[in-house]
Amino acid sequence: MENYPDGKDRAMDRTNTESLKDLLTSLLWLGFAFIFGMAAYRIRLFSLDGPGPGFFPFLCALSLGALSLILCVTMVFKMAVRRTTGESEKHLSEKVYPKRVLIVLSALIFYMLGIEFLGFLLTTLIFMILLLRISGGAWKVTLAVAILSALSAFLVFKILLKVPLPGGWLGI
Amino acid sequence: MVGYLRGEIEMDFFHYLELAFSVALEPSNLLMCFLGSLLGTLVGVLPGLGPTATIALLLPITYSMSAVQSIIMLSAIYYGAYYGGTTTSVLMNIPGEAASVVTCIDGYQMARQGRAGAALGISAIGSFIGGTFAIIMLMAMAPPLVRMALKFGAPERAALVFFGLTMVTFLAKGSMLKALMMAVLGLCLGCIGQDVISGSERFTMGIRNLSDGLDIVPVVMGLFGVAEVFLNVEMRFGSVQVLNAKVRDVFPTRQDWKDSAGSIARGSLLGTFLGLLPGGGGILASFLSYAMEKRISKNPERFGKGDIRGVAGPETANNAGAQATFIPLLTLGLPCNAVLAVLMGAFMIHGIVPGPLLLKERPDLFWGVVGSMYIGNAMLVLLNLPFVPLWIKLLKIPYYIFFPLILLICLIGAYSIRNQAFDVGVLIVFGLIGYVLKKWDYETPPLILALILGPMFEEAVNQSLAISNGEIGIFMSRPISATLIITAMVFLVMSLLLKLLRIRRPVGTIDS
Repeated sequence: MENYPDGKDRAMDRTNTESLKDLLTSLLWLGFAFIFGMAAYRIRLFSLDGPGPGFFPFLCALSLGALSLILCVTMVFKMAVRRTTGESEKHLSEKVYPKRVLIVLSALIFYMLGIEFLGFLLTTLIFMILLLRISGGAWKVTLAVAILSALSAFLVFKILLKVPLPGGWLGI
Repeated sequence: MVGYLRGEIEMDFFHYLELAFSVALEPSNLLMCFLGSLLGTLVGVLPGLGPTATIALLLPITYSMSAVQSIIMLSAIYYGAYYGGTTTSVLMNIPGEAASVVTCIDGYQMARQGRAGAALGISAIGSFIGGTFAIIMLMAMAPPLVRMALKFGAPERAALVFFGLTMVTFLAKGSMLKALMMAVLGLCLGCIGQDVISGSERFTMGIRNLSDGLDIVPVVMGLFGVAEVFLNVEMRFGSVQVLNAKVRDVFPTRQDWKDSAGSIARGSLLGTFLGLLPGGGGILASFLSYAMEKRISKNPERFGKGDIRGVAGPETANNAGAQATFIPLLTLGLPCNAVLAVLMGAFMIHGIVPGPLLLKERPDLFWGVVGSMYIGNAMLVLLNLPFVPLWIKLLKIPYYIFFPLILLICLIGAYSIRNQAFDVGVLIVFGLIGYVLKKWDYETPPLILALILGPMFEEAVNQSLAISNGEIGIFMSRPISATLIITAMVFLVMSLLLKLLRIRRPVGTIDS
């Protein structure tokens, strides 16, 4: 078994991390179910004719809460059993680039905020340049693909399909 | 009313068959079928944008089309993707679609032995035969299913949706408990907006744009399109290795036919049966077909080394399964998977509710779609074989160029719904949610299914309780709803018990 320098079992640590993750998420869902249920209760559970508008959401919240509790208890039990038996799982770790996710997210938010102000064409061009730069590579390729994509999208969606996309600052 | 409908359904069966082809062969519908088949194949071949997100993306464009044209095109995308996924499985050992995973095992080995053409050929022809078989079953089963469904009241409708959602979670790839939680979360999200009966706003948090609830298009594109991009950009951008195999001799030889005939026949039956089950469909059918073929084979050691039966059976089964999933959708109004749930959204955009009355009220739509499925299957055989070199060229587009285009299409699709940046915001939020859910090993298809079926489920539950003056026993007092609920509960309890037993069993007694 692979161990940390201090002798702690690495495989066991990974296993418990997975179960801990599930445990934490189950608590998150439990919290969500509680808030959702309270909001549903405040709407109105029953009316004179039968179930009120809050009845079905309240039922869903109860179900979600119950399932989250089952998951929570299951994970606690699982961690306890694994600790006793020494069972472990194998995991393959692969290098990840979380910064790229942030870049993509930022580009998406830029698009949402910019489209009505800057207009479809300009926003699309900047958006494509931002994303194509993630991989690095030649600027010539980035600009060529970005310009081609923006113009093609403009032609297809605005001109051919007549989708009403904002002209924004450029007015086109 | 039911007797009148019964008579009309039986007497006009051959008339509807004629209607099927007369509608499907109209030039505009033929064009839509072709476009859908082409797009579906592309979607199946290219990574990153599955049929669910593609259909959601195209929903706003279908506003300007007729209902028949929209459904024909979107349906063709769905079953076309199954054809397209085979190409990458055989030539790259990478499944284009989840249902093509199994094809990689023997298909890629066949390509390495210089038999890529035979693998692709038998896949296309087997898929055509399986698909045709499923369509014939659809035509045969539709009238009796519709007759049965016309007797459904609110409790039966509620029980059917409950059964559907439970089976989808039971057949989920990962944890059933987590899949169930996602289904319930989907029901919760379906409650956002104005309550249909009382008119009171629920969970809108004062946001005016949420009064009509969450629009399915940005939600699906976010969960399936944007989330997928987030997950892929996080990984290393690798280059695609396409096997440098000449694709020739795509028509199977006599020996290939002899070897595959049984597999194709079994795949057709298995796929059609599994396609009827909620949560079934092409993916499960392909896996079970492979397992079955290997189990009954006299020389199972050949599987995994390029045995044509390992390609013929699963490919036939997956397409038969995909076509068969239309049976519960069109006759009962029950979508069996996330793709069909989104397709159901396309019906609703045109003010049509799929279900037992569809056959009566819109026979042109019902039979037109059925007719177009025959034609679409034939088109797909023709599209997939000669165009393989083109698909190979497209596969070589690096992902770092491809993913911005996917996002751009999602953004345009979201914005064009109501010309509001709010919908783009919904797209981004659900993209993040989908990404986080996948990181935490939660499946999103049950969420989508429940989001779409939720309002219908709520209405049926509330109506049932109103009829019975709040007595919950109404669901168990009627035989059809009782059967559906009991079956669903049996699967649920069985699965949870098995899980608990697995946790308690110590290491050393677990089977390898």
